[in-house]
Amino acid sequence: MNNKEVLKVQNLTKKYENKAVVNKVSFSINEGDIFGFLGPNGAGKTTTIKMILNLIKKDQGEVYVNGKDFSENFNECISKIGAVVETPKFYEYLTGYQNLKQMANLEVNVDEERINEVIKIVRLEKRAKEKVNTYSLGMKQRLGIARALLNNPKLVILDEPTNGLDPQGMRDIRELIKKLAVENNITFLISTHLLHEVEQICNKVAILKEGEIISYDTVKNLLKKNTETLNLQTPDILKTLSLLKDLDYVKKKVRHEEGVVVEIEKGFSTKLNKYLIQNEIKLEYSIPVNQSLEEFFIKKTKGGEQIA
Amino acid sequence: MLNLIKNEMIKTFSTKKMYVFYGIIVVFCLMISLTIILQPGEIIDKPTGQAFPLILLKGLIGQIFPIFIIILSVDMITNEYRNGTFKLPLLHPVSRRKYILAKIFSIILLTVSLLGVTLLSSYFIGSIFFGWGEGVTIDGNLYSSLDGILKMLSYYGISILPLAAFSMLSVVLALLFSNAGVAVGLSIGLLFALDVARQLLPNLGLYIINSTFYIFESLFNSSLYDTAFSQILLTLIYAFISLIISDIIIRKKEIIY
Repeated sequence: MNNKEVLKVQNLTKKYENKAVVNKVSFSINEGDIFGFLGPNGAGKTTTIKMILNLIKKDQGEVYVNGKDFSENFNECISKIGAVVETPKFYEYLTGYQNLKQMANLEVNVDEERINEVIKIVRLEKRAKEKVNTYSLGMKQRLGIARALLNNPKLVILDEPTNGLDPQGMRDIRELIKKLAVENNITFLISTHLLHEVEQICNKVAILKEGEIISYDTVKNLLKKNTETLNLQTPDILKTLSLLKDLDYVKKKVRHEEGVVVEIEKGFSTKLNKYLIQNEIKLEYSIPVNQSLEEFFIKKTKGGEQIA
Repeated sequence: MLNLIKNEMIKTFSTKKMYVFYGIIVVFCLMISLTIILQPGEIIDKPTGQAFPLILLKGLIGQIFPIFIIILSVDMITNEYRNGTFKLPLLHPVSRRKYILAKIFSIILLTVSLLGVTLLSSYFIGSIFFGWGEGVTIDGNLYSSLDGILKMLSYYGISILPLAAFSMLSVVLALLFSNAGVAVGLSIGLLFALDVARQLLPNLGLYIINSTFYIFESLFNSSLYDTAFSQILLTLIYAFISLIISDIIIRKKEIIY
Protein backbone atom coordinates (compact mmCIF):
# COMPACT_ATOMS: atom_id res chain seq x y z
CA MET A 1 0.00 0.00 0.00
CA ASN A 2 1.20 3.51 -0.71
CA ASN A 3 -0.22 7.00 -0.63
CA LYS A 4 -0.93 7.34 -4.34
CA GLU A 5 -4.62 8.05 -4.60
CA VAL A 6 -6.28 5.87 -7.25
CA LEU A 7 -9.89 6.85 -6.62
CA LYS A 8 -11.29 9.82 -4.79
CA VAL A 9 -15.01 10.29 -4.30
CA GLN A 10 -16.23 13.61 -2.95
CA ASN A 11 -19.71 14.46 -1.69
CA LEU A 12 -21.42 12.05 -4.05
CA THR A 13 -25.16 12.55 -3.81
CA LYS A 14 -28.11 10.98 -5.59
CA LYS A 15 -31.70 11.95 -5.00
CA TYR A 16 -34.87 10.26 -6.19
CA GLU A 17 -38.00 12.34 -5.75
CA ASN A 18 -36.13 14.72 -3.46
CA LYS A 19 -35.06 11.89 -1.16
CA ALA A 20 -31.31 11.34 -0.98
CA VAL A 21 -30.54 7.65 -1.51
CA VAL A 22 -26.83 8.47 -1.44
CA ASN A 23 -25.91 11.50 0.61
CA LYS A 24 -22.54 13.26 0.45
CA VAL A 25 -20.51 10.09 0.26
CA SER A 26 -16.76 10.75 0.32
CA PHE A 27 -13.83 8.39 0.47
CA SER A 28 -10.53 7.75 -1.20
CA ILE A 29 -8.68 4.61 -2.17
CA ASN A 30 -4.91 4.39 -2.40
CA GLU A 31 -2.89 2.17 -4.65
CA GLY A 32 -2.77 -1.37 -3.31
CA ASP A 33 -5.82 -1.00 -1.08
CA ILE A 34 -8.53 -3.60 -0.94
CA PHE A 35 -11.31 -1.26 0.02
CA GLY A 36 -14.48 -2.70 1.49
CA PHE A 37 -17.67 -0.80 0.80
CA LEU A 38 -19.88 -2.28 3.43
CA GLY A 39 -23.56 -1.84 4.09
CA PRO A 40 -26.87 -3.64 4.28
CA ASN A 41 -28.91 -4.26 1.15
CA GLY A 42 -30.45 -1.00 -0.01
CA ALA A 43 -27.84 1.16 1.72
CA GLY A 44 -26.82 2.76 -1.58
CA LYS A 45 -23.66 0.80 -2.43
CA THR A 46 -24.62 -0.08 -6.01
CA THR A 47 -26.02 3.39 -6.65
CA THR A 48 -22.70 4.87 -5.51
CA ILE A 49 -20.75 2.49 -7.75
CA LYS A 50 -22.99 3.33 -10.71
CA MET A 51 -22.41 7.03 -10.10
CA ILE A 52 -18.66 6.46 -9.92
CA LEU A 53 -18.83 4.65 -13.26
CA ASN A 54 -21.05 7.28 -14.84
CA LEU A 55 -23.87 4.79 -15.44
CA ILE A 56 -26.28 6.98 -13.52
CA LYS A 57 -26.04 10.72 -13.13
CA LYS A 58 -24.95 12.19 -9.85
CA ASP A 59 -26.88 15.10 -8.41
CA GLN A 60 -23.80 16.38 -6.66
CA GLY A 61 -20.19 15.47 -6.10
CA GLU A 62 -17.03 14.59 -7.97
CA VAL A 63 -15.13 11.46 -8.83
CA TYR A 64 -11.39 11.53 -9.49
CA VAL A 65 -9.36 8.67 -10.93
CA ASN A 66 -5.59 9.10 -10.54
CA GLY A 67 -6.29 12.74 -9.76
CA LYS A 68 -8.30 13.36 -12.93
CA ASP A 69 -11.94 14.37 -12.99
CA PHE A 70 -13.84 11.33 -14.24
CA SER A 71 -16.61 13.31 -15.97
CA GLU A 72 -14.16 15.44 -17.93
CA ASN A 73 -11.72 12.63 -18.78
CA PHE A 74 -14.08 9.70 -19.23
CA ASN A 75 -12.06 7.70 -21.74
CA GLU A 76 -8.79 8.10 -19.90
CA CYS A 77 -10.31 7.30 -16.51
CA ILE A 78 -12.46 4.35 -17.56
CA SER A 79 -9.52 2.72 -19.31
CA LYS A 80 -7.85 2.41 -15.90
CA ILE A 81 -10.88 0.74 -14.34
CA GLY A 82 -12.37 -2.72 -14.59
CA ALA A 83 -15.79 -3.26 -13.09
CA VAL A 84 -18.48 -5.80 -12.39
CA VAL A 85 -21.70 -4.05 -11.44
CA GLU A 86 -24.33 -6.15 -9.66
CA THR A 87 -24.58 -9.81 -10.70
CA PRO A 88 -22.31 -10.11 -13.74
CA LYS A 89 -24.34 -10.04 -16.94
CA PHE A 90 -23.31 -11.60 -20.22
CA TYR A 91 -24.55 -12.28 -23.70
CA GLU A 92 -25.71 -15.71 -22.64
CA TYR A 93 -25.89 -17.05 -26.20
CA LEU A 94 -22.18 -16.38 -26.74
CA THR A 95 -19.31 -18.39 -25.27
CA GLY A 96 -17.23 -17.10 -22.40
CA TYR A 97 -14.41 -16.39 -24.84
CA GLN A 98 -16.72 -14.53 -27.25
CA ASN A 99 -18.04 -12.43 -24.39
CA LEU A 100 -14.51 -11.38 -23.53
CA LYS A 101 -13.73 -10.77 -27.19
CA GLN A 102 -16.73 -8.42 -27.42
CA MET A 103 -15.22 -6.22 -24.73
CA ALA A 104 -11.66 -6.66 -25.97
CA ASN A 105 -12.81 -5.20 -29.31
CA LEU A 106 -13.58 -1.95 -27.49
CA GLU A 107 -10.12 -1.58 -26.00
CA VAL A 108 -7.00 -0.47 -27.83
CA ASN A 109 -4.38 -2.82 -26.43
CA VAL A 110 -6.25 -5.99 -25.63
CA ASP A 111 -5.31 -8.85 -27.93
CA GLU A 112 -6.19 -12.54 -27.98
CA GLU A 113 -3.18 -13.32 -25.84
CA ARG A 114 -4.56 -11.10 -23.08
CA ILE A 115 -7.98 -12.75 -23.38
CA ASN A 116 -6.37 -16.17 -22.89
CA GLU A 117 -4.32 -14.77 -20.01
CA VAL A 118 -7.37 -13.54 -18.06
CA ILE A 119 -9.19 -16.79 -18.77
CA LYS A 120 -6.23 -18.58 -17.21
CA ILE A 121 -6.16 -16.23 -14.21
CA VAL A 122 -9.76 -17.06 -13.34
CA ARG A 123 -9.25 -20.74 -14.20
CA LEU A 124 -11.89 -21.01 -16.91
CA GLU A 125 -9.68 -22.55 -19.61
CA LYS A 126 -11.76 -25.70 -19.89
CA ARG A 127 -15.11 -23.95 -20.23
CA ALA A 128 -14.17 -20.77 -22.10
CA LYS A 129 -15.42 -22.09 -25.45
CA GLU A 130 -18.83 -23.05 -24.04
CA LYS A 131 -21.88 -20.84 -24.04
CA VAL A 132 -22.33 -18.73 -20.93
CA ASN A 133 -25.88 -20.00 -20.42
CA THR A 134 -24.33 -23.32 -19.32
CA TYR A 135 -22.18 -21.64 -16.61
CA SER A 136 -22.82 -21.80 -12.87
CA LEU A 137 -23.09 -18.56 -10.92
CA GLY A 138 -19.58 -19.06 -9.57
CA MET A 139 -18.21 -19.41 -13.10
CA LYS A 140 -20.08 -16.30 -14.16
CA GLN A 141 -18.56 -14.38 -11.26
CA ARG A 142 -15.12 -15.55 -12.35
CA LEU A 143 -15.81 -14.67 -15.96
CA GLY A 144 -17.00 -11.25 -14.75
CA ILE A 145 -13.69 -10.76 -12.98
CA ALA A 146 -11.85 -11.88 -16.13
CA ARG A 147 -13.77 -9.28 -18.10
CA ALA A 148 -12.89 -6.62 -15.54
CA LEU A 149 -9.20 -7.55 -15.83
CA LEU A 150 -9.05 -7.43 -19.64
CA ASN A 151 -7.73 -3.87 -19.93
CA ASN A 152 -5.01 -4.32 -17.27
CA PRO A 153 -6.84 -1.97 -14.89
CA LYS A 154 -5.29 -0.16 -11.94
CA LEU A 155 -8.58 -0.28 -10.08
CA VAL A 156 -11.14 -3.07 -10.12
CA ILE A 157 -14.62 -2.42 -8.77
CA LEU A 158 -16.56 -5.51 -7.78
CA ASP A 159 -20.15 -5.22 -6.64
CA GLU A 160 -21.02 -8.07 -4.25
CA PRO A 161 -18.57 -10.49 -5.91
CA THR A 162 -19.50 -13.45 -3.71
CA ASN A 163 -23.24 -12.92 -3.73
CA GLY A 164 -25.13 -16.17 -4.22
CA LEU A 165 -22.04 -18.38 -4.15
CA ASP A 166 -21.56 -21.49 -2.04
CA PRO A 167 -18.84 -21.36 0.67
CA GLN A 168 -16.21 -22.88 -1.63
CA GLY A 169 -17.10 -20.45 -4.41
CA MET A 170 -16.87 -17.52 -1.97
CA ARG A 171 -13.48 -18.70 -0.80
CA ASP A 172 -12.22 -19.08 -4.37
CA ILE A 173 -13.23 -15.53 -5.26
CA ARG A 174 -11.66 -14.06 -2.12
CA GLU A 175 -8.44 -15.94 -2.73
CA LEU A 176 -8.43 -14.70 -6.31
CA ILE A 177 -8.90 -11.08 -5.20
CA LYS A 178 -6.09 -11.34 -2.64
CA LYS A 179 -3.81 -12.96 -5.20
CA LEU A 180 -4.53 -10.30 -7.85
CA ALA A 181 -3.96 -7.51 -5.34
CA VAL A 182 -0.55 -8.90 -4.38
CA GLU A 183 0.72 -10.33 -7.66
CA ASN A 184 -0.73 -7.83 -10.13
CA ASN A 185 -0.73 -4.78 -7.85
CA ILE A 186 -4.40 -4.15 -8.50
CA THR A 187 -6.40 -1.89 -6.22
CA PHE A 188 -9.87 -3.16 -5.37
CA LEU A 189 -13.14 -1.57 -4.34
CA ILE A 190 -15.42 -4.33 -3.17
CA SER A 191 -18.98 -3.68 -2.16
CA THR A 192 -20.46 -6.27 0.14
CA HIS A 193 -22.97 -6.82 2.86
CA LEU A 194 -20.82 -9.57 4.37
CA LEU A 195 -18.84 -8.33 7.35
CA HIS A 196 -16.53 -11.29 7.56
CA GLU A 197 -15.63 -10.77 3.92
CA VAL A 198 -14.35 -7.30 4.72
CA GLU A 199 -12.49 -8.63 7.76
CA GLN A 200 -10.90 -11.36 5.68
CA ILE A 201 -9.68 -9.45 2.65
CA CYS A 202 -9.97 -5.67 3.08
CA ASN A 203 -7.51 -3.30 4.66
CA LYS A 204 -9.81 -0.28 4.53
CA VAL A 205 -13.55 0.03 4.91
CA ALA A 206 -16.36 2.54 4.58
CA ILE A 207 -19.62 1.58 6.23
CA LEU A 208 -22.68 2.86 4.49
CA LYS A 209 -26.08 3.09 6.10
CA GLU A 210 -29.15 4.65 4.50
CA GLY A 211 -27.00 6.38 1.92
CA GLU A 212 -24.53 7.91 4.35
CA ILE A 213 -21.07 6.85 5.43
CA ILE A 214 -21.15 6.22 9.14
CA SER A 215 -17.58 4.95 9.50
CA TYR A 216 -14.54 5.14 7.30
CA ASP A 217 -11.10 3.98 8.35
CA THR A 218 -8.68 1.10 8.15
CA VAL A 219 -10.17 -2.16 9.38
CA LYS A 220 -7.37 -2.28 11.97
CA ASN A 221 -8.26 1.14 13.38
CA LEU A 222 -11.96 0.41 13.49
CA LEU A 223 -11.34 -2.64 15.61
CA LYS A 224 -8.93 -0.86 17.92
CA LYS A 225 -10.38 0.12 21.32
CA ASN A 226 -9.39 0.90 24.89
CA THR A 227 -10.93 -2.15 26.47
CA GLU A 228 -10.41 -5.87 26.07
CA THR A 229 -12.87 -8.67 26.55
CA LEU A 230 -12.22 -11.98 28.31
CA ASN A 231 -14.36 -15.08 28.40
CA LEU A 232 -13.79 -16.52 31.89
CA GLN A 233 -14.85 -20.15 32.01
CA THR A 234 -15.46 -21.29 35.57
CA PRO A 235 -17.97 -23.28 37.60
CA ASP A 236 -17.81 -20.56 40.36
CA ILE A 237 -19.97 -18.13 38.48
CA LEU A 238 -21.69 -16.38 41.40
CA LYS A 239 -18.50 -15.96 43.40
CA THR A 240 -16.73 -14.60 40.33
CA LEU A 241 -19.50 -12.08 39.71
CA SER A 242 -19.33 -10.98 43.29
CA LEU A 243 -15.55 -10.49 43.14
CA LEU A 244 -15.75 -8.58 39.86
CA LYS A 245 -18.09 -6.06 41.51
CA ASP A 246 -15.22 -4.62 43.57
CA LEU A 247 -12.84 -4.04 40.65
CA ASP A 248 -12.81 -0.53 39.15
CA TYR A 249 -11.11 -1.66 35.91
CA VAL A 250 -14.04 -3.96 35.09
CA LYS A 251 -16.39 -2.13 32.75
CA LYS A 252 -18.98 -4.77 31.97
CA LYS A 253 -19.78 -8.37 32.89
CA VAL A 254 -22.23 -10.79 31.36
CA ARG A 255 -23.02 -14.19 32.82
CA HIS A 256 -23.36 -17.21 30.57
CA GLU A 257 -23.78 -20.96 31.05
CA GLU A 258 -20.10 -21.75 31.40
CA GLY A 259 -18.87 -18.62 33.11
CA VAL A 260 -18.68 -14.86 32.66
CA VAL A 261 -17.70 -12.58 29.79
CA VAL A 262 -16.00 -9.53 31.16
CA GLU A 263 -14.92 -6.29 29.51
CA ILE A 264 -11.96 -4.67 31.25
CA GLU A 265 -9.59 -1.78 30.70
CA LYS A 266 -6.74 -2.65 28.38
CA GLY A 267 -3.70 -4.20 30.14
CA PHE A 268 -5.51 -5.56 33.18
CA SER A 269 -6.08 -9.16 32.03
CA THR A 270 -3.08 -10.69 33.89
CA LYS A 271 -3.98 -8.80 37.05
CA LEU A 272 -7.56 -10.05 36.83
CA ASN A 273 -6.54 -13.66 36.32
CA LYS A 274 -4.16 -13.51 39.32
CA TYR A 275 -6.84 -11.88 41.47
CA LEU A 276 -9.39 -14.55 40.68
CA ILE A 277 -6.93 -17.39 41.34
CA GLN A 278 -5.82 -15.79 44.63
CA ASN A 279 -9.48 -15.75 45.66
CA GLU A 280 -9.71 -19.48 44.96
CA ILE A 281 -11.80 -19.22 41.82
CA LYS A 282 -11.45 -22.39 39.81
CA LEU A 283 -10.60 -20.70 36.51
CA GLU A 284 -10.64 -23.31 33.75
CA TYR A 285 -9.96 -20.94 30.86
CA SER A 286 -9.52 -17.20 30.34
CA ILE A 287 -10.02 -16.61 26.63
CA PRO A 288 -9.48 -13.20 25.00
CA VAL A 289 -12.41 -12.25 22.78
CA ASN A 290 -11.52 -10.14 19.75
CA GLN A 291 -13.97 -7.50 18.72
CA SER A 292 -15.26 -8.35 15.28
CA LEU A 293 -16.34 -5.93 12.64
CA GLU A 294 -19.79 -7.37 13.11
CA GLU A 295 -19.89 -6.19 16.74
CA PHE A 296 -18.52 -2.84 15.63
CA PHE A 297 -21.16 -2.55 12.94
CA ILE A 298 -23.97 -3.51 15.26
CA LYS A 299 -22.85 -0.88 17.76
CA LYS A 300 -22.62 1.73 15.02
CA THR A 301 -25.93 0.97 13.41
CA LYS A 302 -27.74 0.00 16.59
CA GLY A 303 -28.87 -3.27 15.13
CA GLY A 304 -27.04 -4.03 11.94
CA GLU A 305 -30.11 -5.43 10.31
CA GLN A 306 -29.60 -7.51 7.17
CA ILE A 307 -25.91 -7.87 7.80
CA ALA A 308 -24.81 -11.47 7.64
CA MET B 1 -17.35 2.76 -34.03
CA LEU B 2 -16.53 -0.05 -36.48
CA ASN B 3 -15.75 -2.41 -33.62
CA LEU B 4 -19.04 -1.56 -31.96
CA ILE B 5 -20.88 -2.36 -35.21
CA LYS B 6 -18.87 -5.56 -35.57
CA ASN B 7 -19.89 -6.56 -32.03
CA GLU B 8 -23.55 -5.94 -32.83
CA MET B 9 -23.29 -8.07 -35.96
CA ILE B 10 -21.63 -10.94 -34.11
CA LYS B 11 -24.32 -10.82 -31.42
CA THR B 12 -27.19 -10.64 -33.91
CA PHE B 13 -25.95 -13.47 -36.09
CA SER B 14 -25.27 -15.63 -33.03
CA THR B 15 -29.00 -15.82 -32.43
CA LYS B 16 -31.66 -17.24 -34.72
CA LYS B 17 -33.53 -13.99 -35.22
CA MET B 18 -32.05 -12.85 -38.54
CA TYR B 19 -32.26 -16.34 -40.01
CA VAL B 20 -35.94 -16.44 -39.05
CA PHE B 21 -36.45 -13.07 -40.77
CA TYR B 22 -34.71 -14.34 -43.90
CA GLY B 23 -36.86 -17.46 -43.72
CA ILE B 24 -40.03 -15.37 -43.46
CA ILE B 25 -39.00 -13.42 -46.56
CA VAL B 26 -38.45 -16.64 -48.52
CA VAL B 27 -41.77 -18.05 -47.31
CA PHE B 28 -43.46 -14.77 -48.26
CA CYS B 29 -41.90 -15.06 -51.76
CA LEU B 30 -43.20 -18.60 -52.11
CA MET B 31 -46.67 -17.69 -50.84
CA ILE B 32 -47.07 -14.79 -53.26
CA SER B 33 -45.78 -16.94 -56.14
CA LEU B 34 -48.21 -19.72 -55.31
CA THR B 35 -51.09 -17.28 -54.90
CA ILE B 36 -50.37 -15.78 -58.33
CA ILE B 37 -50.18 -19.22 -59.91
CA LEU B 38 -53.26 -20.63 -58.19
CA GLN B 39 -55.43 -17.51 -58.61
CA PRO B 40 -54.10 -15.85 -61.78
CA GLY B 41 -55.32 -12.31 -62.35
CA GLU B 42 -57.22 -12.05 -59.08
CA ILE B 43 -54.51 -10.25 -57.13
CA ILE B 44 -51.96 -9.49 -59.73
CA ASP B 45 -51.22 -10.44 -63.33
CA LYS B 46 -48.65 -13.16 -63.77
CA PRO B 47 -45.27 -11.41 -63.69
CA THR B 48 -41.90 -12.52 -65.03
CA GLY B 49 -39.04 -13.48 -62.74
CA GLN B 50 -37.44 -10.12 -63.55
CA ALA B 51 -40.48 -8.14 -62.40
CA PHE B 52 -41.15 -10.23 -59.32
CA PRO B 53 -38.70 -8.33 -56.99
CA LEU B 54 -40.79 -5.19 -57.42
CA ILE B 55 -43.94 -7.01 -56.32
CA LEU B 56 -42.10 -8.29 -53.27
CA LEU B 57 -40.75 -4.86 -52.41
CA LYS B 58 -44.23 -3.36 -52.58
CA GLY B 59 -45.59 -6.19 -50.47
CA LEU B 60 -42.97 -6.08 -47.73
CA ILE B 61 -41.88 -2.50 -47.34
CA GLY B 62 -45.04 -1.10 -45.79
CA GLN B 63 -45.35 -3.37 -42.80
CA ILE B 64 -43.10 -6.41 -42.74
CA PHE B 65 -39.77 -4.57 -42.95
CA PRO B 66 -40.82 -1.94 -40.36
CA ILE B 67 -41.88 -4.75 -38.00
CA PHE B 68 -38.49 -6.44 -38.48
CA ILE B 69 -36.81 -3.11 -37.75
CA ILE B 70 -38.88 -2.63 -34.59
CA ILE B 71 -37.94 -6.11 -33.37
CA LEU B 72 -34.25 -5.52 -34.10
CA SER B 73 -34.26 -2.15 -32.31
CA VAL B 74 -36.06 -3.47 -29.27
CA ASP B 75 -33.77 -6.47 -29.11
CA MET B 76 -30.60 -4.39 -29.39
CA ILE B 77 -31.69 -1.70 -26.98
CA THR B 78 -34.67 -2.43 -24.73
CA ASN B 79 -33.90 -6.12 -24.24
CA GLU B 80 -30.22 -5.50 -23.62
CA TYR B 81 -31.07 -2.71 -21.21
CA ARG B 82 -33.40 -4.96 -19.23
CA ASN B 83 -30.97 -7.90 -19.34
CA GLY B 84 -28.19 -5.73 -17.95
CA THR B 85 -25.91 -6.10 -20.97
CA PHE B 86 -26.56 -2.64 -22.41
CA LYS B 87 -24.15 -1.13 -19.89
CA LEU B 88 -21.23 -3.43 -20.71
CA PRO B 89 -19.64 -1.37 -23.53
CA LEU B 90 -20.21 1.77 -21.45
CA LEU B 91 -17.69 0.42 -18.93
CA HIS B 92 -15.05 0.82 -21.63
CA PRO B 93 -13.80 3.87 -23.50
CA VAL B 94 -16.98 4.19 -25.54
CA SER B 95 -19.07 7.34 -25.59
CA ARG B 96 -22.81 7.01 -25.31
CA ARG B 97 -23.28 8.87 -28.58
CA LYS B 98 -21.01 6.50 -30.49
CA TYR B 99 -22.66 3.52 -28.84
CA ILE B 100 -26.16 4.45 -29.95
CA LEU B 101 -24.97 5.48 -33.42
CA ALA B 102 -23.33 2.07 -33.79
CA LYS B 103 -26.61 0.41 -32.87
CA ILE B 104 -28.48 2.54 -35.43
CA PHE B 105 -25.96 1.75 -38.19
CA SER B 106 -26.13 -1.93 -37.29
CA ILE B 107 -29.91 -1.94 -37.64
CA ILE B 108 -29.59 -0.18 -41.00
CA LEU B 109 -26.99 -2.73 -42.18
CA LEU B 110 -29.23 -5.59 -41.10
CA THR B 111 -32.14 -3.95 -42.94
CA VAL B 112 -29.96 -3.74 -46.06
CA SER B 113 -29.29 -7.46 -45.69
CA LEU B 114 -33.06 -8.06 -45.48
CA LEU B 115 -33.53 -6.08 -48.68
CA GLY B 116 -30.71 -8.06 -50.28
CA VAL B 117 -32.25 -11.39 -49.36
CA THR B 118 -35.60 -10.16 -50.65
CA LEU B 119 -34.09 -9.12 -53.98
CA LEU B 120 -32.14 -12.34 -54.48
CA SER B 121 -34.85 -14.72 -53.32
CA SER B 122 -37.51 -12.95 -55.40
CA TYR B 123 -35.34 -13.16 -58.53
CA PHE B 124 -34.63 -16.82 -57.81
CA ILE B 125 -38.12 -17.93 -56.83
CA GLY B 126 -39.76 -15.67 -59.40
CA SER B 127 -37.63 -17.19 -62.17
CA ILE B 128 -38.51 -20.71 -61.05
CA PHE B 129 -42.24 -20.05 -60.93
CA PHE B 130 -42.68 -17.56 -63.76
CA GLY B 131 -39.56 -17.88 -65.89
CA TRP B 132 -36.93 -15.21 -66.37
CA GLY B 133 -38.70 -13.46 -69.27
CA GLU B 134 -37.38 -11.31 -72.09
CA GLY B 135 -37.03 -8.09 -70.20
CA VAL B 136 -39.10 -6.21 -67.68
CA THR B 137 -41.95 -3.73 -67.98
CA ILE B 138 -42.04 -1.08 -65.30
CA ASP B 139 -44.56 1.77 -65.36
CA GLY B 140 -45.40 0.87 -68.94
CA ASN B 141 -41.79 1.02 -70.14
CA LEU B 142 -39.97 -2.05 -71.37
CA TYR B 143 -36.41 -2.48 -70.15
CA SER B 144 -33.73 -4.95 -71.17
CA SER B 145 -32.65 -7.52 -68.58
CA LEU B 146 -29.56 -5.52 -67.63
CA ASP B 147 -31.46 -2.24 -67.40
CA GLY B 148 -34.19 -4.05 -65.49
CA ILE B 149 -31.72 -5.35 -62.94
CA LEU B 150 -30.18 -1.89 -62.55
CA LYS B 151 -33.64 -0.41 -62.15
CA MET B 152 -34.49 -2.99 -59.52
CA LEU B 153 -31.24 -2.29 -57.67
CA SER B 154 -32.12 1.42 -57.66
CA TYR B 155 -35.59 0.70 -56.28
CA TYR B 156 -34.17 -1.43 -53.51
CA GLY B 157 -31.29 0.98 -52.94
CA ILE B 158 -33.46 4.06 -52.54
CA SER B 159 -35.73 2.09 -50.17
CA ILE B 160 -32.86 2.00 -47.70
CA LEU B 161 -33.39 5.71 -47.10
CA PRO B 162 -36.92 5.62 -45.59
CA LEU B 163 -36.15 2.36 -43.78
CA ALA B 164 -33.04 3.95 -42.26
CA ALA B 165 -35.13 6.91 -41.08
CA PHE B 166 -37.67 4.49 -39.63
CA SER B 167 -34.82 2.62 -37.88
CA MET B 168 -33.79 5.85 -36.19
CA LEU B 169 -37.36 6.53 -35.10
CA SER B 170 -37.65 2.97 -33.85
CA VAL B 171 -34.45 3.39 -31.81
CA VAL B 172 -35.99 6.43 -30.10
CA LEU B 173 -38.99 4.32 -29.08
CA ALA B 174 -36.75 1.45 -27.94
CA LEU B 175 -34.76 3.87 -25.79
CA LEU B 176 -37.89 5.25 -24.18
CA PHE B 177 -39.11 1.94 -22.80
CA SER B 178 -37.47 -0.54 -20.48
CA ASN B 179 -39.89 -3.37 -21.20
CA ALA B 180 -39.43 -5.19 -24.51
CA GLY B 181 -43.08 -6.30 -24.77
CA VAL B 182 -44.36 -2.78 -24.24
CA ALA B 183 -41.80 -1.35 -26.67
CA VAL B 184 -42.68 -3.82 -29.45
CA GLY B 185 -46.43 -3.54 -28.84
CA LEU B 186 -46.50 0.23 -28.82
CA SER B 187 -44.14 0.58 -31.77
CA ILE B 188 -46.15 -1.81 -33.94
CA GLY B 189 -49.38 -0.17 -32.76
CA LEU B 190 -47.97 3.21 -33.74
CA LEU B 191 -46.87 1.85 -37.13
CA PHE B 192 -50.38 0.64 -37.93
CA ALA B 193 -52.00 3.79 -36.54
CA LEU B 194 -49.77 5.94 -38.73
CA ASP B 195 -50.54 3.77 -41.73
CA VAL B 196 -54.27 4.17 -41.14
CA ALA B 197 -53.80 7.92 -40.63
CA ARG B 198 -51.84 8.11 -43.89
CA GLN B 199 -54.68 6.52 -45.79
CA LEU B 200 -57.54 8.34 -44.06
CA LEU B 201 -56.00 11.79 -44.00
CA PRO B 202 -54.34 12.34 -47.39
CA ASN B 203 -53.12 15.87 -46.56
CA LEU B 204 -51.67 14.97 -43.19
CA GLY B 205 -50.52 11.65 -44.58
CA LEU B 206 -47.88 13.38 -46.66
CA TYR B 207 -46.01 14.20 -43.46
CA ILE B 208 -46.20 10.71 -41.97
CA ILE B 209 -43.08 8.59 -42.26
CA ASN B 210 -45.02 5.64 -43.72
CA SER B 211 -45.72 7.69 -46.85
CA THR B 212 -41.99 7.72 -47.61
CA PHE B 213 -41.71 3.93 -47.69
CA TYR B 214 -42.91 3.93 -51.31
CA ILE B 215 -40.40 6.53 -52.41
CA PHE B 216 -39.16 4.17 -55.15
CA GLU B 217 -42.49 4.57 -56.94
CA SER B 218 -42.11 8.33 -57.29
CA LEU B 219 -38.36 8.86 -57.55
CA PHE B 220 -38.00 7.13 -60.90
CA ASN B 221 -41.17 8.57 -62.37
CA SER B 222 -40.58 12.00 -63.90
CA SER B 223 -44.17 13.09 -63.31
CA LEU B 224 -43.76 12.48 -59.56
CA TYR B 225 -40.43 14.22 -58.97
CA ASP B 226 -42.00 16.80 -56.67
CA THR B 227 -43.47 14.04 -54.53
CA ALA B 228 -40.14 12.24 -54.48
CA PHE B 229 -38.33 15.41 -53.44
CA SER B 230 -40.73 16.07 -50.58
CA GLN B 231 -40.46 12.42 -49.51
CA ILE B 232 -36.66 12.60 -49.42
CA LEU B 233 -36.85 15.82 -47.44
CA LEU B 234 -39.35 14.30 -45.04
CA THR B 235 -37.14 11.23 -44.61
CA LEU B 236 -34.14 13.41 -43.80
CA ILE B 237 -36.16 15.46 -41.33
CA TYR B 238 -37.39 12.31 -39.57
CA ALA B 239 -33.85 10.93 -39.48
CA PHE B 240 -32.34 14.16 -38.19
CA ILE B 241 -34.95 14.70 -35.47
CA SER B 242 -34.77 11.04 -34.40
CA LEU B 243 -30.97 11.25 -34.13
CA ILE B 244 -31.16 14.39 -32.00
CA ILE B 245 -33.78 12.86 -29.70
CA SER B 246 -31.80 9.59 -29.40
CA ASP B 247 -28.72 11.57 -28.48
CA ILE B 248 -30.59 13.51 -25.79
CA ILE B 249 -32.17 10.37 -24.35
CA ILE B 250 -28.97 8.31 -24.29
CA ARG B 251 -26.99 11.10 -22.66
CA LYS B 252 -29.58 11.45 -19.91
CA LYS B 253 -30.48 7.79 -19.56
CA GLU B 254 -29.88 6.23 -16.18
CA ILE B 255 -28.48 2.75 -16.71
CA ILE B 256 -30.30 1.10 -13.85
CA TYR B 257 -30.19 -2.53 -14.95
